[in-house]
Amino acid sequence: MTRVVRIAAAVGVTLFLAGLIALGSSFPLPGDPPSDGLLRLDWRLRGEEAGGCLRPTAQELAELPPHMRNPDACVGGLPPYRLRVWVDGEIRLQDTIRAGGIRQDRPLTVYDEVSLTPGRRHVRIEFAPQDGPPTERRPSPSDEAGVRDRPTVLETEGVVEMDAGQVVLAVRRQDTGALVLRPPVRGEPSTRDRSGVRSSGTGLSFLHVPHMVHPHQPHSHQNHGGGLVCHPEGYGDRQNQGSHSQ
Amino acid sequence: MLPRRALARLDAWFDKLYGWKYNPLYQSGTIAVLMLVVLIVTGLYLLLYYRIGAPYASVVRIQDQVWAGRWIRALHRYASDAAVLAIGVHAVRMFLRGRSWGPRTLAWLSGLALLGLFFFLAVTGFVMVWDVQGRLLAMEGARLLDALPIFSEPVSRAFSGERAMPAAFFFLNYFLHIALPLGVALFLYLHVSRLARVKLLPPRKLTWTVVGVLVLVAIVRPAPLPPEADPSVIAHQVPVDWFFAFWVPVTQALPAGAAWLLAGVLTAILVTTPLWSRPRATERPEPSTLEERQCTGCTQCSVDCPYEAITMVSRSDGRAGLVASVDPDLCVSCGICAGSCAPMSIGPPGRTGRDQLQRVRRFLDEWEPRADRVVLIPCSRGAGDVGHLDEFEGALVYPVECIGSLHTSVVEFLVRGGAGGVLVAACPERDCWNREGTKWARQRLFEDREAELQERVDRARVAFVEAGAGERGSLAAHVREFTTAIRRLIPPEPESSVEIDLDCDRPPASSVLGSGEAGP
Ligand code: HEM
Ligand code: SF4
Ligand code: SF4
Repeated sequence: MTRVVRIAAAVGVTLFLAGLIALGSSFPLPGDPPSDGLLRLDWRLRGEEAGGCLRPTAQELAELPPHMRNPDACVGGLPPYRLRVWVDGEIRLQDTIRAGGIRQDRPLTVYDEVSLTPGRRHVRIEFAPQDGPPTERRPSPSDEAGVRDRPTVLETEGVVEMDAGQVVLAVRRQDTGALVLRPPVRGEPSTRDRSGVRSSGTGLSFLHVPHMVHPHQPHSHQNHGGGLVCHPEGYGDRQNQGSHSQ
Repeated sequence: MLPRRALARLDAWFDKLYGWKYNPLYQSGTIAVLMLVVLIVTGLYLLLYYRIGAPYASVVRIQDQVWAGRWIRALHRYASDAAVLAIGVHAVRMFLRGRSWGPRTLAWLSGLALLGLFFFLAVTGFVMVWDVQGRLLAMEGARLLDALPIFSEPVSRAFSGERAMPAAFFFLNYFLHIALPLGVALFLYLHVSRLARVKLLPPRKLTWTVVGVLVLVAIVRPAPLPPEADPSVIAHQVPVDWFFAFWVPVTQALPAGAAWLLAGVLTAILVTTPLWSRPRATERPEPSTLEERQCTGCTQCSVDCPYEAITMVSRSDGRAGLVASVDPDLCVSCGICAGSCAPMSIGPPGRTGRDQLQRVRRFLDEWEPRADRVVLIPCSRGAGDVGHLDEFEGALVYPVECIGSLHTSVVEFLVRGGAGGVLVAACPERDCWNREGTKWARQRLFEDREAELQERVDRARVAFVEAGAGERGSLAAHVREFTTAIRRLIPPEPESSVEIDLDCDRPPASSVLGSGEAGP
């Protein structure tokens, strides 16, 4: 190998390695574009909302050191909830959700995904105690009439119209706690709307009737929308009037 | 073994192109350190403009700085890619060259920790941008974490799009990206803590070439900025950095449990490498030992030991002065101390200077070298991989385990015993299995380093070449050339009795060729 050839080869190999780095540093992952949309379920239910949480009695509280006396603390585990999702009347997801933590005294958390074929889809979601309302209940000393011990039932249904690759969320409103269908929030921390509700501008069409049901409080069954609500920008207050009594 | 042979070939090819000194394969460890330095310098600039409250927007701003930000960001990215490439090459080399066990276990394990930390550090860097790639990495990481019984709530919820990403998330990520380099520095210190005279950076020419080429690439092809993270669409064909995201398609195709199982098996294999890659107990070389009576306390062995395994301590025999002491836990049994000790009092069992004299005497008896013949002394781990042969290109082969362990008296014995010439064939200096064997051997033969080749030996009959395991062809050429050269010399008179000094500082002891005695 002559000197010139050697130098040319060295330069060639160097450029090849540099090219490899430049190319390998940004190259698309393989895969076809998604053919479906996605319904992403994401919410949590605190112990006091889940009802069956056993609260300490006044006597149990008195036995604790003063700094540990929390009348809202849960004693023992929370009851399991059943999650069901129907799309166009067909059950697509059925799961038992147990509370987090070793003693199952942490909140119940739902995080799941259901694929939706593009077009108009009727979605119905129900999240309720698996075995109906718990029989054993001990009102908290701090509660009035034990209202907080009633288990919350979350329900929503509506029609979403979406394209392949789009995502729709089933989440709880931050103010009322009602379960709603809405597009995800985009954007950076600095542009965050304090309510956590922000338009995505994705053009996703929502036609839905969200509501939330509380079995012991008929008012909470109210469906304020009274029919299909269309919101090209995503959602508005009218959609979020399902009530959550505490 | 095929991968070993392939590596030897590749080494030989790169040697030819770049020369051993600048061979990037040999320099992969130092190139990795250099890249860490480049990452720190460029990272400091990027931090000036990065905003936790507006991560993507701030990177857009950096990308819009045509004269600085854009190529500095690209350099930061390419340096991290080059670093992981260099680390990979370095680790594979260490493994294939059998440097992954024994006292090198600490270097191996801390190297793995470095690799893991560096990887995690890079992932936090990608997440900082909060583009589609950052979100993809975060979400896949969260999915895997959720399979572990650690958190009472799924981590993935943070990325569902239920609300805007909280600034706290970016703060934590930013904190990790700044704190992890300290961990890298700590483990790097540990990584090289058992090595003497560590060279952390490549030779200057190579340093500037590597940095220059990366700057050029960064200017010519700045790292693209993919679209902002968007939870409202299912990401697909996301442009990713394959040096760091290669695992994503693999784990995405697996249930999280299977992905953890795979990761666990791989980690277990890597972590236990020092156990399963070591030779069988009976074949494992033993650490050096010392004959205190013969040690003059000259300190040369403790200076030459590349693993700082020798310290000078007070004598235990009541005499004044110091004596060498070997820490068997640090000794890799390279034998370099055997080559550095003029009185031949130290070395791995069976390989001390005195043992070497016995062996060369038997060799002379057996082969009776002639004045027109060369004796080739190759390192059995490299040097054309000819150590297992009796003859090579007409030269008699006298292999040694590391050229640095060769006592110069052996060369003297051969020349004065009648060999036409002695060709010492070492591994390329940066590829020495024992780090400094080649360097010390050359200096002992030609630059009067302590335990030097005596003046009375005709230097025309001694030559030194460097050749990697895959460079048999070039070694053959050297042997032929040297044989031709010594045939032109006046034939030497073989001596019937060769006296060799066995002390650094007198009083001398002697060994007589053919007497069957190996000194006092
Ligand atoms: C950031 C990553 C790393 C850097 C910067 C780095 C750098 C270095 C440097 C500079 C040396 C000294 C070389 C010498 O002077 O002989 C070295 C030695 C070594 N490295 Fe690494 N290294 C890294 C990762 C690794 C990894 C991942 C492994 C293997 C799993 C590894 C295994 C070793 C071993 C076994 C040695 C000791 C060689 C000996 O004792 O002879 N290193 N490394
Ligand atoms: S053989 Fe000698 S030089 Fe090599 S590591 Fe052991 S003590 Fe050090
Ligand atoms: S080189 Fe030999 S004589 Fe000198 S200190 Fe080491 S063992 Fe002792």
